[in-house]
Amino acid sequence: MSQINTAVHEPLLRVVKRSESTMKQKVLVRAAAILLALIVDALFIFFITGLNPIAVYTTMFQGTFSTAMRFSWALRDLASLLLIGVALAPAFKMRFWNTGAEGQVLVGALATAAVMVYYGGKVPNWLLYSAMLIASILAGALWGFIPAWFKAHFNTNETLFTLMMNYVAIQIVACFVNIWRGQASGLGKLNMKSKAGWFPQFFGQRYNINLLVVVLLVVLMYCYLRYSKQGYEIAVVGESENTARYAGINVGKVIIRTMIISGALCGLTGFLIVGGRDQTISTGTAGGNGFTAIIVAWLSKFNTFTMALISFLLIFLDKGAMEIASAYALNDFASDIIAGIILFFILGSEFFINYKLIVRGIHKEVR
Amino acid sequence: MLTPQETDRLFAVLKNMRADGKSIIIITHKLHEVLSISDRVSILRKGEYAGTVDTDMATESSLTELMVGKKVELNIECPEPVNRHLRLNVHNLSVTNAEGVRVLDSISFEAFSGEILGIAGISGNGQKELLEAIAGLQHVDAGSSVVYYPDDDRDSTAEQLIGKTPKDIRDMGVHLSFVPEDRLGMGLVGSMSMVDNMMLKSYTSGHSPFADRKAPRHLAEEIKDSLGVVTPSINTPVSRLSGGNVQKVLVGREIADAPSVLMTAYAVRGLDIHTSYTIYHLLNEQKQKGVAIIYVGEDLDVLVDLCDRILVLCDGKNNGIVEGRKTSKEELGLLMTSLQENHGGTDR
Amino acid sequence: MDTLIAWVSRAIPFGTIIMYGALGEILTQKSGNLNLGVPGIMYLGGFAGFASAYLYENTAANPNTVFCIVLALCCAFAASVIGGMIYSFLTITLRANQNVTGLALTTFGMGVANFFGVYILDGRTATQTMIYKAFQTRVPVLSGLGIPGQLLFGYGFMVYAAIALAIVLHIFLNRTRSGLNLRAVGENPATADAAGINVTRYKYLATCIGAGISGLGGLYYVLDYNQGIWATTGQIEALGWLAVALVIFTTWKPLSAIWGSYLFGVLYWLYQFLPALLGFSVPGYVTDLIQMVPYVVTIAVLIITSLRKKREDQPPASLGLAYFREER
Repeated sequence: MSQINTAVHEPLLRVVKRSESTMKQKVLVRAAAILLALIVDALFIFFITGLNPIAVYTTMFQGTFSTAMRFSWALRDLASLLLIGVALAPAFKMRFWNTGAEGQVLVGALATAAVMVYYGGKVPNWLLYSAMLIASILAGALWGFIPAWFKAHFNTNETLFTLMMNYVAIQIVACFVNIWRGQASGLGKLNMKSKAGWFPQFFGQRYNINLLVVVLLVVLMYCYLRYSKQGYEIAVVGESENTARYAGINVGKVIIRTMIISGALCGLTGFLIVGGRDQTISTGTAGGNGFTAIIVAWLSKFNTFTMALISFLLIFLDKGAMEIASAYALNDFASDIIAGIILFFILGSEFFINYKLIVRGIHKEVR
Repeated sequence: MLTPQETDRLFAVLKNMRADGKSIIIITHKLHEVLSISDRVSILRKGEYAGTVDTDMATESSLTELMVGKKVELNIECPEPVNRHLRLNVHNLSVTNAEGVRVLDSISFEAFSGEILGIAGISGNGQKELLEAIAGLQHVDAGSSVVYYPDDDRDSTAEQLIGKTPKDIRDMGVHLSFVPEDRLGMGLVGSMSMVDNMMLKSYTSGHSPFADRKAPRHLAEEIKDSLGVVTPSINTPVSRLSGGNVQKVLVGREIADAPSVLMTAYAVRGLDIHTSYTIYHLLNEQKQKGVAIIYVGEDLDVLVDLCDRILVLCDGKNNGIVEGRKTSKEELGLLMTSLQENHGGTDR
Repeated sequence: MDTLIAWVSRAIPFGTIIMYGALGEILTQKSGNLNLGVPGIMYLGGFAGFASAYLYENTAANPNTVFCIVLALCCAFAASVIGGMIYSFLTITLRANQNVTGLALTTFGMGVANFFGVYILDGRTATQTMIYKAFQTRVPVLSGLGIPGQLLFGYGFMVYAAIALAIVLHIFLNRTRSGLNLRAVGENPATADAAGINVTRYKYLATCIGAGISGLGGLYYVLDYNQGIWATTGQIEALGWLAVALVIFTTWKPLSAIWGSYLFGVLYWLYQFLPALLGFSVPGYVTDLIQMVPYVVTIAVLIITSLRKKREDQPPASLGLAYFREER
């Protein structure tokens, strides 16, 4: 055969799926992503405000770490975000897009507040706390159950169903807040005098109980997903419903059961926020954490310990941005921008974990 | 896939094109087709060019040697069934799909232990629905019946499988193994390791709320060694394995369950010739252990060589059951494409 | 009767906001991309439109109204397209998860709009640009023709532009070759790729132009519906989610978005006009409950479409999935 030199058109960059990436690669890629994001954020800060980004970052750092009190506040907010992330983990592992955490937290909070309003001071404390706990869990579970039931029976799109349930919850909360405040302009703290239903002080703060619960749940949820039979079922259903049916798993049952768990834990978060942190309720009680937690759950690949890290990073940014806001007369929406940019980079970095680029001309790369 | 008759017609067309001076590249895994149509054959092996030979000089075994890299025995055995008795009695099985089309129409047949029953037919003629209906994964029409006979064909111990879920069937103690067509979409979970895939049908065993991973790990090691699964580790996600190794994992798991009925759908589709023969060998091994095997295939040569009896599906209907030892692929091809007047499961 | 007229003339502008959002998202989703960043994009569009009009008004010696309108439209469209490009790059090129990227974009868009918004507000709680008067200019002559004139022609030009856009989009998707190609990409990118369609290009274009259209909804909200007032409220976010819901409501049909969005508008204003129409007043807390009606209706529609399982009502088959040629 004659050798004809044919110019093969090879693209400059070619994308190839990685066969496997090591732990070291994964950590390096993510660290690089965060570093790059911080550089982009620094450029943003510099060009918009003309401030020295390093000084700004130092100030940001102080938002969380300057005093013990600040650190404790950061942990308090971390607890709320992380709890919702943990609550979402089983649903997302099942690839059930529960965008309704915000609403599930709200109804849990509402149930708690209702018990406080109507039974506060009228029944013994232990009974009051139990009633608050149970009511919040039931309410959250119900909010999770409704879309799950329709998903299981009619395959109704859960992303939008749960999203809409948020607004239904918001309006119900608005309605009750309206009733309870009466003629007053705001609701204020519930049971201000009797403090009935308020969590007791624990190491000097009421919200330290929340921290305790979140640590416990992080471990429990990790074990549930990793080692239990139900956790295995969730994983199979999430990967392929056909395989699940083939294996004899009752897919509908698993969907409903998992969403009841997810909703119940969101409801529990509502209980902890009202009892341990706010002692009141408003339509902003969940504070957007229901949405942020989705990103947390997804990025951590449902590993609850990784969730703790990512939640801390986001809370740190949030606190830092507030600190910059007060120190440099900026506004704390900067935190949304900074967090957004970091999230974009982390999301984009996944690509470099799953794929690799081959540049034209460099052949036989070691895999 | 084409029937022998259609293949002949296609080849006639290709030969005319060659006579017109066109150059033709044909890619096929059927060696006798390569030998009958081509002038030269190039062989690829694991993505690398293994050589080009003139067809006149080539034989099936010489081509196989180039494809696999070593000599391969190309005979499929078909031992006479021993201790043959009724295992499954499928009667009047019909399936209507979501669009209202009757994809299976009153199928009746019997499957016996120690026997391989082939299912032939152009793909999409009800094969998938047939196996899934038996496995409890399909909604069937009223009047359908699949009766399972545990040890002998007495009616007293028989069990009706229709209306049961796969879990019900398992709980009844029926070891029904099923190698589905869609390996990573139904038979296995691609993102899970071999170990976790071994658990797929057995994870419920025991009363603990936690899943046992010791036994599955042991089983995974065993399958890896005995079937020669090429994988970095039993903890590697199975989607990272090659098609042949994925199928070994799936077949290995299904056989490890000591089945009494083994159903396979396109068990060798896309596999290299060496792995294909490993699978045929495994099926024959199971047959001799007294398993009733239902083998859905598309390669008519293999069906004729491997199966004791072959049921031909055409348009969702049973278009006749023929003896594997007496039939020819031309007869099968004819049954696959033209519906017989008197369809309804008459043994020929 | 007056109440009814007032109701409709509030409902149609409200519907127009989410009609833009939904039309853009229909185009995006037809390419197989589920962009949950619509609220963020509407924020970007709304803010860019407002800021450009505000700055032009306050710097130019003799502000030209037409130029100001065009400027605002272009800036809103461009800012939203940038949002769409971020989303496209992450989900199409880098194959990041669409839902999560969309949510991050919503956070980002809200952040950007409100962050810069604070500079313009400069300590005030709200600030206004006068260009809203031009946006709200009714159709001359026709709007004066009694009640029908008021109901049909009593709105700014963007209301009619939205209807025209819906029709154009309908024709594009159903009557042109590019529209057919786009739908093929959304249904089955592998097949489309094999047929020689440039999947990446179609996805990028549909997503970015879709984002641009959605962003106009934000612009319309600020410069017409809200009378040119910019304030740091979360209002646009809820509107963005309603726009996403409207896409499902219309079962991905641009023409249905016209009446669907007006219906949403009617439902949204139900709490104010229905009691008045029936001649009684309701306490504030009941109003809160009535305000959930649009969301409950959306849920009902979701359930009904899933029950009917009609083929033409289903989402594009590859919606939400990234496409990688080598994974076919």
